[in-house]
Amino acid sequence: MRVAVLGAGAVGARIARQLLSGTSVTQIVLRDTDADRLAQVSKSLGDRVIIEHAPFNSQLDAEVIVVATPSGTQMSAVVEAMEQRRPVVSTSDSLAEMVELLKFSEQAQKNNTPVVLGAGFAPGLTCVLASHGVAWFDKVQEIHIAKAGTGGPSCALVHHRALSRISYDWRHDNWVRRPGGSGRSLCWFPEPIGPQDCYRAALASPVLLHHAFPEVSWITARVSASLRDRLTAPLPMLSPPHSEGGLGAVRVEIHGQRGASHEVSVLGVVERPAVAAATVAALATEYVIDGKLKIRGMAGLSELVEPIDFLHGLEKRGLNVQIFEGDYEKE
Amino acid sequence: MMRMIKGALESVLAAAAVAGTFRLLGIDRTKRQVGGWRRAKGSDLR
Repeated sequence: MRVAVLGAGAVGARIARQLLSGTSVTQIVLRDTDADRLAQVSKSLGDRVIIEHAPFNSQLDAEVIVVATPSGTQMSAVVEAMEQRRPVVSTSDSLAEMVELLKFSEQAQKNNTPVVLGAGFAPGLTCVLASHGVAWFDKVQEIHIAKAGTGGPSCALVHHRALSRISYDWRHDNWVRRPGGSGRSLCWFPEPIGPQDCYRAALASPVLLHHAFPEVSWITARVSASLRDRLTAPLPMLSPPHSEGGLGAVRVEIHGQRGASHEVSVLGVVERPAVAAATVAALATEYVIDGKLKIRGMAGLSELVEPIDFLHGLEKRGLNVQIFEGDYEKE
Repeated sequence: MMRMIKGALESVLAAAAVAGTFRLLGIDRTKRQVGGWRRAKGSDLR
Protein backbone atom coordinates (compact mmCIF):
# COMPACT_ATOMS: atom_id res chain seq x y z
CA MET A 1 0.00 0.00 0.00
CA ARG A 2 1.33 3.43 -0.93
CA VAL A 3 0.44 6.35 1.34
CA ALA A 4 1.03 10.04 0.65
CA VAL A 5 1.94 12.23 3.61
CA LEU A 6 1.57 15.93 2.86
CA GLY A 7 3.77 17.97 5.19
CA ALA A 8 7.12 16.91 6.65
CA GLY A 9 6.99 18.95 9.84
CA ALA A 10 7.06 17.75 13.44
CA VAL A 11 3.88 15.70 12.91
CA GLY A 12 4.16 14.69 9.23
CA ALA A 13 7.69 13.30 9.51
CA ARG A 14 6.68 11.20 12.50
CA ILE A 15 3.55 9.91 10.76
CA ALA A 16 5.75 8.73 7.87
CA ARG A 17 8.16 7.05 10.26
CA GLN A 18 5.39 5.30 12.21
CA LEU A 19 3.63 4.10 9.07
CA LEU A 20 6.87 2.65 7.73
CA SER A 21 7.49 0.81 10.99
CA GLY A 22 4.27 -1.18 10.46
CA THR A 23 3.55 -3.83 7.86
CA SER A 24 0.58 -2.27 6.02
CA VAL A 25 2.50 0.49 4.24
CA THR A 26 5.13 -0.38 1.65
CA GLN A 27 5.96 3.08 0.41
CA ILE A 28 5.45 6.71 1.46
CA VAL A 29 5.21 9.72 -0.83
CA LEU A 30 6.32 12.64 1.34
CA ARG A 31 5.49 16.13 0.09
CA ASP A 32 6.58 19.46 1.52
CA THR A 33 7.29 22.94 0.19
CA ASP A 34 10.61 23.07 2.07
CA ALA A 35 13.28 21.10 0.14
CA ASP A 36 15.84 21.30 2.97
CA ARG A 37 13.44 19.87 5.51
CA LEU A 38 12.46 17.08 3.13
CA ALA A 39 16.11 16.18 2.54
CA GLN A 40 16.74 16.10 6.27
CA VAL A 41 13.68 13.97 7.02
CA SER A 42 14.21 11.54 4.14
CA LYS A 43 17.72 10.74 5.40
CA SER A 44 16.27 9.20 8.54
CA LEU A 45 13.39 7.43 6.79
CA GLY A 46 15.33 5.24 4.36
CA ASP A 47 14.66 4.27 0.76
CA ARG A 48 10.96 3.47 1.09
CA VAL A 49 10.22 7.19 0.95
CA ILE A 50 9.73 9.15 -2.26
CA ILE A 51 10.16 12.86 -1.62
CA GLU A 52 8.41 15.52 -3.66
CA HIS A 53 8.86 19.25 -3.22
CA ALA A 54 7.22 22.23 -4.93
CA PRO A 55 6.27 22.51 -7.78
CA PHE A 56 4.28 19.30 -7.28
CA ASN A 57 2.95 16.86 -9.89
CA SER A 58 -0.77 17.42 -10.27
CA GLN A 59 -1.56 13.75 -9.58
CA LEU A 60 -0.59 12.10 -6.29
CA ASP A 61 0.30 8.47 -6.76
CA ALA A 62 -1.06 6.98 -3.51
CA GLU A 63 -4.07 5.03 -2.26
CA VAL A 64 -4.46 6.90 1.05
CA ILE A 65 -3.63 10.54 1.72
CA VAL A 66 -2.59 11.93 5.09
CA VAL A 67 -2.71 15.72 5.28
CA ALA A 68 -0.30 17.01 7.93
CA THR A 69 0.37 20.48 6.53
CA PRO A 70 -0.14 23.42 8.94
CA SER A 71 -3.73 23.78 10.20
CA GLY A 72 -5.64 26.20 8.01
CA THR A 73 -3.93 25.02 4.81
CA GLN A 74 -5.48 21.54 4.60
CA MET A 75 -8.85 22.36 3.03
CA SER A 76 -7.90 22.10 -0.67
CA ALA A 77 -5.91 18.87 -0.24
CA VAL A 78 -8.73 17.16 1.68
CA VAL A 79 -11.42 18.26 -0.78
CA GLU A 80 -9.29 17.24 -3.76
CA ALA A 81 -8.64 13.78 -2.31
CA MET A 82 -12.33 13.41 -1.53
CA GLU A 83 -13.31 14.35 -5.07
CA GLN A 84 -10.95 11.66 -6.35
CA ARG A 85 -12.66 9.24 -3.93
CA ARG A 86 -9.42 8.57 -2.06
CA PRO A 87 -9.47 7.98 1.69
CA VAL A 88 -7.97 10.94 3.55
CA VAL A 89 -6.79 11.58 7.10
CA SER A 90 -6.57 15.22 8.23
CA THR A 91 -4.62 16.38 11.28
CA SER A 92 -6.08 19.89 11.27
CA ASP A 93 -7.08 21.39 14.63
CA SER A 94 -8.28 24.70 13.21
CA LEU A 95 -11.87 25.52 14.17
CA ALA A 96 -12.63 27.48 10.98
CA GLU A 97 -11.19 24.75 8.76
CA MET A 98 -13.10 22.03 10.61
CA VAL A 99 -16.39 23.86 10.15
CA GLU A 100 -15.68 24.33 6.44
CA LEU A 101 -14.65 20.69 5.99
CA LEU A 102 -17.79 19.40 7.71
CA LYS A 103 -19.84 21.09 4.98
CA PHE A 104 -18.54 18.34 2.66
CA SER A 105 -19.72 15.49 4.91
CA GLU A 106 -22.74 14.74 2.72
CA GLN A 107 -20.52 14.48 -0.34
CA ALA A 108 -18.09 12.18 1.48
CA GLN A 109 -20.96 9.93 2.48
CA LYS A 110 -22.33 9.92 -1.06
CA ASN A 111 -18.87 9.04 -2.42
CA ASN A 112 -18.54 6.35 0.25
CA THR A 113 -15.06 7.73 1.00
CA PRO A 114 -13.53 7.61 4.48
CA VAL A 115 -12.49 11.10 5.60
CA VAL A 116 -10.96 11.21 9.09
CA LEU A 117 -11.10 14.69 10.60
CA GLY A 118 -9.00 15.99 13.48
CA ALA A 119 -6.66 12.99 13.77
CA GLY A 120 -4.28 14.60 16.23
CA PHE A 121 -3.80 15.36 19.92
CA ALA A 122 -6.86 17.58 20.50
CA PRO A 123 -9.08 16.89 18.66
CA GLY A 124 -8.16 13.30 17.91
CA LEU A 125 -6.93 11.62 21.04
CA THR A 126 -9.47 13.62 23.05
CA CYS A 127 -12.29 12.33 20.80
CA VAL A 128 -11.25 8.72 21.43
CA LEU A 129 -10.96 9.31 25.20
CA ALA A 130 -14.39 10.97 25.24
CA SER A 131 -15.91 8.15 23.24
CA HIS A 132 -14.42 5.62 25.68
CA GLY A 133 -15.48 7.57 28.80
CA VAL A 134 -19.03 8.13 27.55
CA ALA A 135 -19.56 4.35 27.48
CA TRP A 136 -19.16 4.25 31.30
CA PHE A 137 -22.31 6.32 31.83
CA ASP A 138 -26.02 5.69 31.37
CA LYS A 139 -26.50 9.29 30.35
CA VAL A 140 -23.84 11.94 29.74
CA GLN A 141 -24.58 15.60 30.45
CA GLU A 142 -21.22 17.32 30.07
CA ILE A 143 -17.90 16.81 28.28
CA HIS A 144 -15.06 19.23 29.02
CA ILE A 145 -11.78 19.05 27.11
CA ALA A 146 -8.52 20.72 28.15
CA LYS A 147 -5.18 20.73 26.42
CA ALA A 148 -1.72 21.88 27.54
CA GLY A 149 1.31 22.36 25.32
CA THR A 150 1.99 22.68 21.62
CA GLY A 151 3.77 20.62 18.98
CA GLY A 152 5.67 22.18 16.09
CA PRO A 153 5.76 25.85 15.02
CA SER A 154 2.45 25.74 13.15
CA CYS A 155 0.74 24.20 16.19
CA ALA A 156 2.18 27.02 18.32
CA LEU A 157 0.77 29.54 15.85
CA VAL A 158 -2.71 27.98 16.00
CA HIS A 159 -2.54 28.09 19.82
CA HIS A 160 -1.46 31.74 19.72
CA ARG A 161 -4.27 32.78 17.35
CA ALA A 162 -6.95 30.67 19.02
CA LEU A 163 -6.66 32.67 22.25
CA SER A 164 -7.65 35.90 20.51
CA ARG A 165 -10.59 34.46 18.55
CA ILE A 166 -14.14 33.58 19.46
CA SER A 167 -14.64 30.22 21.16
CA TYR A 168 -17.69 28.03 20.61
CA ASP A 169 -19.14 25.99 23.47
CA TRP A 170 -22.20 23.81 23.01
CA ARG A 171 -24.68 24.52 25.79
CA HIS A 172 -28.39 23.63 25.96
CA ASP A 173 -28.97 23.19 22.21
CA ASN A 174 -27.03 26.30 21.23
CA TRP A 175 -23.55 27.33 20.24
CA VAL A 176 -22.45 29.88 22.83
CA ARG A 177 -19.89 32.39 21.54
CA ARG A 178 -17.38 33.69 24.07
CA PRO A 179 -14.12 35.61 23.64
CA GLY A 180 -10.96 33.53 23.55
CA GLY A 181 -8.76 33.99 26.61
CA SER A 182 -11.80 34.25 28.93
CA GLY A 183 -13.29 31.72 31.35
CA ARG A 184 -10.27 30.77 33.44
CA SER A 185 -10.54 27.28 34.82
CA LEU A 186 -7.93 25.41 36.82
CA CYS A 187 -7.45 22.03 35.15
CA TRP A 188 -5.41 19.19 36.58
CA PHE A 189 -3.42 17.31 34.00
CA PRO A 190 -1.50 14.09 34.66
CA GLU A 191 1.96 14.57 36.18
CA PRO A 192 4.41 16.12 35.43
CA ILE A 193 2.15 18.77 33.82
CA GLY A 194 -0.07 19.11 36.92
CA PRO A 195 -2.48 22.02 37.49
CA GLN A 196 -2.71 24.64 34.73
CA ASP A 197 -4.94 27.65 34.21
CA CYS A 198 -6.94 26.98 31.06
CA TYR A 199 -9.00 29.40 28.97
CA ARG A 200 -11.56 29.39 26.20
CA ALA A 201 -10.16 29.58 22.66
CA ALA A 202 -11.21 28.93 19.10
CA LEU A 203 -10.82 25.14 19.34
CA ALA A 204 -12.28 22.46 17.10
CA SER A 205 -12.97 19.77 19.72
CA PRO A 206 -16.54 20.86 20.64
CA VAL A 207 -17.58 20.81 16.96
CA LEU A 208 -16.45 17.21 16.45
CA LEU A 209 -17.76 16.07 19.83
CA HIS A 210 -21.18 17.60 19.23
CA HIS A 211 -21.24 15.84 15.84
CA ALA A 212 -20.57 12.55 17.65
CA PHE A 213 -22.67 13.12 20.78
CA PRO A 214 -25.57 15.42 19.86
CA GLU A 215 -27.47 14.41 23.03
CA VAL A 216 -24.80 15.85 25.40
CA SER A 217 -26.02 19.24 26.60
CA TRP A 218 -22.72 20.92 27.51
CA ILE A 219 -19.45 20.56 25.59
CA THR A 220 -16.48 22.88 26.14
CA ALA A 221 -12.79 22.99 25.28
CA ARG A 222 -10.04 24.99 26.91
CA VAL A 223 -6.35 25.42 26.42
CA SER A 224 -3.65 26.21 28.97
CA ALA A 225 -2.13 29.65 28.61
CA SER A 226 0.13 32.00 30.52
CA LEU A 227 -0.61 35.66 31.17
CA ARG A 228 1.84 36.55 28.37
CA ASP A 229 0.04 34.18 25.95
CA ARG A 230 -3.26 35.94 26.65
CA LEU A 231 -1.90 39.48 26.53
CA THR A 232 0.00 38.98 23.27
CA ALA A 233 -2.65 36.81 21.55
CA PRO A 234 -4.14 39.66 19.43
CA LEU A 235 -0.64 40.63 18.19
CA PRO A 236 1.49 38.78 15.66
CA MET A 237 3.82 36.29 17.37
CA LEU A 238 6.54 38.45 18.91
CA SER A 239 9.23 35.80 18.77
CA PRO A 240 9.53 32.92 16.29
CA PRO A 241 7.90 29.75 17.66
CA HIS A 242 10.08 26.89 18.93
CA SER A 243 10.83 24.04 16.54
CA GLU A 244 9.03 21.76 18.96
CA GLY A 245 7.43 22.26 22.36
CA GLY A 246 8.08 20.07 25.37
CA LEU A 247 5.69 17.73 27.12
CA GLY A 248 1.99 18.45 26.79
CA ALA A 249 -1.19 16.81 28.01
CA VAL A 250 -4.87 16.42 27.31
CA ARG A 251 -7.68 15.92 29.76
CA VAL A 252 -11.26 14.82 29.15
CA GLU A 253 -13.79 15.35 31.93
CA ILE A 254 -17.16 13.66 31.61
CA HIS A 255 -20.17 14.30 33.85
CA GLY A 256 -23.19 12.04 33.77
CA GLN A 257 -25.59 9.67 35.42
CA ARG A 258 -24.53 6.18 36.40
CA GLY A 259 -27.49 4.40 37.93
CA ALA A 260 -29.05 6.83 40.39
CA SER A 261 -25.90 8.85 41.08
CA HIS A 262 -24.26 11.76 39.31
CA GLU A 263 -20.63 10.94 38.62
CA VAL A 264 -17.56 12.47 37.05
CA SER A 265 -14.79 10.64 35.20
CA VAL A 266 -11.56 12.23 34.09
CA LEU A 267 -9.17 10.68 31.55
CA GLY A 268 -5.84 12.12 30.48
CA VAL A 269 -2.66 11.50 28.53
CA VAL A 270 0.79 13.09 28.83
CA GLU A 271 3.07 13.16 25.81
CA ARG A 272 4.83 15.59 23.48
CA PRO A 273 1.90 16.90 21.42
CA ALA A 274 3.54 16.30 18.02
CA VAL A 275 4.47 12.72 18.98
CA ALA A 276 0.95 11.99 20.24
CA ALA A 277 -0.68 13.63 17.20
CA ALA A 278 1.51 11.59 14.83
CA THR A 279 0.77 8.36 16.70
CA VAL A 280 -2.98 8.99 16.52
CA ALA A 281 -2.84 9.95 12.83
CA ALA A 282 -0.66 6.96 11.91
CA LEU A 283 -2.97 4.54 13.74
CA ALA A 284 -6.03 6.16 12.12
CA THR A 285 -4.36 5.69 8.73
CA GLU A 286 -3.78 2.01 9.50
CA TYR A 287 -7.48 1.73 10.42
CA VAL A 288 -8.35 3.21 7.01
CA ILE A 289 -6.01 0.78 5.23
CA ASP A 290 -7.29 -2.23 7.18
CA GLY A 291 -10.94 -1.21 6.66
CA LYS A 292 -11.52 -1.00 10.42
CA LEU A 293 -13.45 2.30 10.44
CA LYS A 294 -17.00 1.95 11.79
CA ILE A 295 -18.54 4.17 9.13
CA ARG A 296 -17.54 5.37 5.68
CA GLY A 297 -17.87 9.10 5.34
CA MET A 298 -16.56 12.20 7.07
CA ALA A 299 -16.32 12.31 10.88
CA GLY A 300 -13.98 12.60 13.84
CA LEU A 301 -12.41 9.65 15.63
CA SER A 302 -15.26 9.47 18.20
CA GLU A 303 -17.53 8.20 15.47
CA LEU A 304 -15.05 6.35 13.29
CA VAL A 305 -13.14 4.01 15.58
CA GLU A 306 -13.88 1.48 18.29
CA PRO A 307 -12.31 3.35 21.25
CA ILE A 308 -11.06 0.40 23.28
CA ASP A 309 -9.33 -1.23 20.32
CA PHE A 310 -7.86 2.15 19.30
CA LEU A 311 -6.61 2.88 22.84
CA HIS A 312 -4.97 -0.56 22.97
CA GLY A 313 -3.30 0.27 19.66
CA LEU A 314 -2.04 3.57 21.09
CA GLU A 315 -0.81 1.80 24.23
CA LYS A 316 1.29 -0.55 22.09
CA ARG A 317 2.85 2.57 20.53
CA GLY A 318 3.69 4.00 23.96
CA LEU A 319 0.74 6.33 24.52
CA ASN A 320 -0.71 5.52 27.92
CA VAL A 321 -4.11 6.60 29.18
CA GLN A 322 -4.36 7.82 32.76
CA ILE A 323 -7.41 8.11 35.00
CA PHE A 324 -7.91 10.69 37.73
CA GLU A 325 -8.94 9.26 41.05
CA GLY A 326 -9.83 11.42 44.00
CA ASP A 327 -12.21 13.98 45.35
CA TYR A 328 -13.59 16.36 42.85
CA GLU A 329 -14.78 19.84 43.62
CA LYS A 330 -15.99 21.99 40.76
CA GLU A 331 -14.37 25.43 40.57
CA MET B 1 -1.07 62.50 36.15
CA MET B 2 0.85 61.85 39.37
CA ARG B 3 -2.44 61.13 41.15
CA MET B 4 -3.33 58.55 38.50
CA ILE B 5 0.04 56.78 38.84
CA LYS B 6 -0.25 56.88 42.64
CA GLY B 7 -3.77 55.43 42.44
CA ALA B 8 -2.66 52.62 40.10
CA LEU B 9 0.28 51.76 42.37
CA GLU B 10 -1.97 51.68 45.42
CA SER B 11 -4.37 49.31 43.63
CA VAL B 12 -1.53 46.96 42.67
CA LEU B 13 -0.17 47.01 46.24
CA ALA B 14 -3.63 46.35 47.68
CA ALA B 15 -4.17 43.40 45.30
CA ALA B 16 -0.73 41.99 46.20
CA ALA B 17 -1.49 42.38 49.92
CA VAL B 18 -4.81 40.51 49.57
CA ALA B 19 -3.17 37.72 47.50
CA GLY B 20 -0.33 37.48 50.06
CA THR B 21 -2.78 37.22 52.94
CA PHE B 22 -4.66 34.38 51.23
CA ARG B 23 -1.40 32.59 50.58
CA LEU B 24 -0.30 33.01 54.23
CA LEU B 25 -3.64 31.60 55.37
CA GLY B 26 -3.07 28.58 53.11
CA ILE B 27 -6.06 29.33 50.87
CA ASP B 28 -4.91 28.17 47.47
CA ARG B 29 -6.90 27.35 44.35
CA THR B 30 -4.65 24.41 43.57
CA LYS B 31 -5.95 22.53 46.61
CA ARG B 32 -9.41 22.12 45.13
CA GLN B 33 -8.79 18.65 43.84
CA VAL B 34 -7.35 15.99 46.09
CA GLY B 35 -6.22 12.79 44.52
CA GLY B 36 -3.99 11.62 41.77
CA TRP B 37 -3.66 10.04 38.40
CA ARG B 38 -3.11 6.36 37.81
CA ARG B 39 -2.36 4.50 34.63
CA ALA B 40 -5.42 2.85 33.07
CA LYS B 41 -5.53 -0.86 33.88
CA GLY B 42 -6.90 -3.71 31.80
CA SER B 43 -10.37 -3.39 33.34
CA ASP B 44 -10.48 0.33 32.45
CA LEU B 45 -9.92 -0.48 28.80
CA ARG B 46 -12.58 -3.13 28.44
